[in-house]
Amino acid sequence: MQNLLRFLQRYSNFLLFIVLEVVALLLFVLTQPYQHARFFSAANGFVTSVTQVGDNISGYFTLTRVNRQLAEENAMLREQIVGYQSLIEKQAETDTTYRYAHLRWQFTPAKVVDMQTATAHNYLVINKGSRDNVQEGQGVLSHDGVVGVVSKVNTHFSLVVPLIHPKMNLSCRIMRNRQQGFLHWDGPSSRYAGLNDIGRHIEVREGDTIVTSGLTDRFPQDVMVGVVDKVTLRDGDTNYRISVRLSTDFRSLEYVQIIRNPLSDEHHAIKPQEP
Amino acid sequence: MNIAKNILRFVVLLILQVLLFNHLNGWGLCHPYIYIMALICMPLLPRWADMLIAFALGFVMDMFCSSLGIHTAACVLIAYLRPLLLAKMVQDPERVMQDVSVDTVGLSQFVRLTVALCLLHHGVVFLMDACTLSHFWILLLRWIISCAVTLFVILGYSTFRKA
Repeated sequence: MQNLLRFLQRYSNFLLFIVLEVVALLLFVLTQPYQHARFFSAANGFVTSVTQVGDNISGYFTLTRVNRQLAEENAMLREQIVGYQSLIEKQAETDTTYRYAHLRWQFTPAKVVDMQTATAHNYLVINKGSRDNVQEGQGVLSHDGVVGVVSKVNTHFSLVVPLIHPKMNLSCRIMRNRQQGFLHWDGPSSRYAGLNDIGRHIEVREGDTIVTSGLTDRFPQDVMVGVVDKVTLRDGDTNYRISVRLSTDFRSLEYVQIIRNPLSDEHHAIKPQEP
Repeated sequence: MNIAKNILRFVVLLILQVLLFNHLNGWGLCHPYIYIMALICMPLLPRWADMLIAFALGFVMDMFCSSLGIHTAACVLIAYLRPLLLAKMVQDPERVMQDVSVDTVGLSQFVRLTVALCLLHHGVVFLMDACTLSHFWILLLRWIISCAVTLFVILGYSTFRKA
């Protein structure tokens, strides 16, 4: 007994060292799922408030860049407004449905917070969710053109399936002759997709503009999708193989608009039910 | 007075670490942990007190880094080894009881002590953080660069305090 006590006394520092290290390692191992540790500190109010101070300070250092981006975006939006206003004025004279225009297409701006554009199954995450009335199936645009379709929504974020995803099939038209086909992507480049179902009797030229067809409730008519890059027709083919250069550069995508069609329920209700 | 000075240094170093040095990235190669200066320069307390303080400091750092256990383990390790190293280096431990600094142990000894503890601490942190040796050369480079930056900052800080 006395020997044990003497041993403990003699090596007390070393034992304390071992105990503390074991506690530290246990903490490390038990919280190994990274999210767990993350949650532990993220939930800690003091830690977050201190890091918040840091963020507030460092936020000032990026102000110049953010300002420039906002100014550029403002200019672009103003340009678009002018364009659209003249369009509306022109149409208002001839189009009697104009007075229902307020029933169509509401826009929600959002920022891309996460994306994957280099794999076979690409996705975007944007920072608007059910709290901002985003719903599954709504279309997403950028100022360059179509981006994709919302596929999953939670409170603050939404998952967008982009045009460059193999499950995506977008109904499109060739602007010049109004012929309709389906845009489909099967990789690998994030700048190009294929346009299917354009029969060989139709005239397609390189440089033709591809726009949305307006045959779904997701996108308005005539939104830019891309430009025909290459047309090939092999012997025996009934359809062209058309490569389209997409107008949206997904790799540099930052801000998008989610569009909501207030009439989409009615649109669906009148369609024949599939058995 | 001495206690107040040490607590103040703890707080200043922690704030510098959390708000500034944690955000230094340098292509993933520069992660200096300058807060260990608080441990290196602490007066020589009873060793259990040393280790408990190190445990607490490491735990606080872990909270800020979302890395439970890593800094705690590294800090306890250097707190355990520091008196041993000091005993080997310094002839006159009485002077060091008050404060471990360039003045009390001399520049070359202080640099040696700092380098040794810094290499140990950073080594443990980076290894536990990576949990693998698969990016060995990057890890090694990060270790060396981060330690160099930490040493530089610690020496700068102590001369700045003196001035």
